[in-house]
Amino acid sequence: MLDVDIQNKTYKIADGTRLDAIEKIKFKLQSQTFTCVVGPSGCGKTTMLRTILGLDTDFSGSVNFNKQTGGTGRVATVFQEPRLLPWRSVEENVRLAMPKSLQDQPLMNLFNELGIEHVKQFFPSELSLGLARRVALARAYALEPELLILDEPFVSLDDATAEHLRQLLLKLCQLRPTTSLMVTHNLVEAATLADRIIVLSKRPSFILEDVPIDIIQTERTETDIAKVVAQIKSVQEI
Amino acid sequence: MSEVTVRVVTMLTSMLALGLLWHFSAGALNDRSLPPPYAVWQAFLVEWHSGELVFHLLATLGRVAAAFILAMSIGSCIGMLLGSYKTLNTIFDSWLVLLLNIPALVIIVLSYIWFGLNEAAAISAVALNKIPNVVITMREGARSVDSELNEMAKVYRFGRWKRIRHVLIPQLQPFFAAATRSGISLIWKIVLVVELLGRSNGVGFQIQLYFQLFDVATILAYTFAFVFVMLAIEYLVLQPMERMATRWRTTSA
Repeated sequence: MLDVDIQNKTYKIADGTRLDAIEKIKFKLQSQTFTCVVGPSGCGKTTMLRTILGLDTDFSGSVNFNKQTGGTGRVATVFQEPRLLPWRSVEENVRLAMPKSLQDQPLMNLFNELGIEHVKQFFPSELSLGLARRVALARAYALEPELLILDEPFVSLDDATAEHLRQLLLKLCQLRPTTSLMVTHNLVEAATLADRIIVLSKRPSFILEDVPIDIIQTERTETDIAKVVAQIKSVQEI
Repeated sequence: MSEVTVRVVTMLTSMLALGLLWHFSAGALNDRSLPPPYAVWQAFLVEWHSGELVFHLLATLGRVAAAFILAMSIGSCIGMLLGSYKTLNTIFDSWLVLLLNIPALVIIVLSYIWFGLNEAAAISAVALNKIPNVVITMREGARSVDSELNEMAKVYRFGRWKRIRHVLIPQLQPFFAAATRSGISLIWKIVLVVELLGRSNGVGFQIQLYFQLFDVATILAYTFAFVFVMLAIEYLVLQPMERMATRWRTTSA
């Protein structure tokens, strides 16, 4: 349903020279799967997401998103920072992102699943980073997206909060099946959440390895996760 | 006593001290050029009962309002354009600097010469004096717009109107408030000059009249009356509006 084929994406840095960010990234996403993209920092992961989202159109190649039959065709994103409107309440932030056809939909269930029902009248400045991230997740899921794109949504949180949010995301994925594409540099996170892990090389990036995980998320043990992490590490060392 | 009460008491004492200073120096000087406070109060009552004060105050207030609306709307549009498009800014920046440095008096005189001694010339002369300031403030505002929120709005397919109302305007609000604040006091001062030079009503016209009669008490009565009107607008309209618009800013986790 999502066809990504990026060839040679460069970008200009401050002094005018061009830097190769992506050499070649080509993959397809199957409907209702959770894919993680991992790679060293600065390898062009965020750049890749920006091209998929249409925020960066200066690249050669193509990105095609095909609406499935019965799908909503909507794309939602959770950015690295929550990117909430500081002057609108939590609920208004979520509602503003929803299309007209969903405006009458109650949000209570979603807010309860994410544990933000009690703060829905708060302004974002009154929230902790962990809560703000949950609101960003709520905003994305409220759209009933067909494709969900997550850019390191749990970065710079303390371990306990990040782990808690990971479990929340896992629960949401089960309750509201969506095709998800997440970028992260945390291998354990990827091995916990994903059906499939795409390992990128250093910049300019290409795909080193495409690792499917056969055990479903809810039945994965710590040994399973450790095994996947070890496999990815060995790929990255070559 | 709470902090607020202390502040209010201090402010009132300070104002009373200024009044007393005025009262005693006027008494010591005993000259027509500095009438004591109660003479100004009496002049105020005379003008109030004759209806003159209200008539001229309203005339001036009307001009202030018209020039203000004109300057803010035109200035905001130009400022946002210059802030958003670099090329436009390069072309028109020198015009802006030029206009900013032409003395208010020159703009007023030329406006009367070119467009005649009429209301439209008076109001546009005032607006033209204020527009460059608004442009510069709003240009800064447009430059400081958060591109991350724009991207969010783009990904979530906000329509044009939704984007303007919920993403853009709240970001520009502090700049608009700053332009309003500095604008309203500047405009009323220039309106007085315009009235003095070419209008037959308004506070400026009355001050000119009483200057010729050397009636300092009435001049001060008009001045204070207008200052109080402006203070009322500041405390009863502008500040509550600003508190409304920035209530999201007051608290933090």
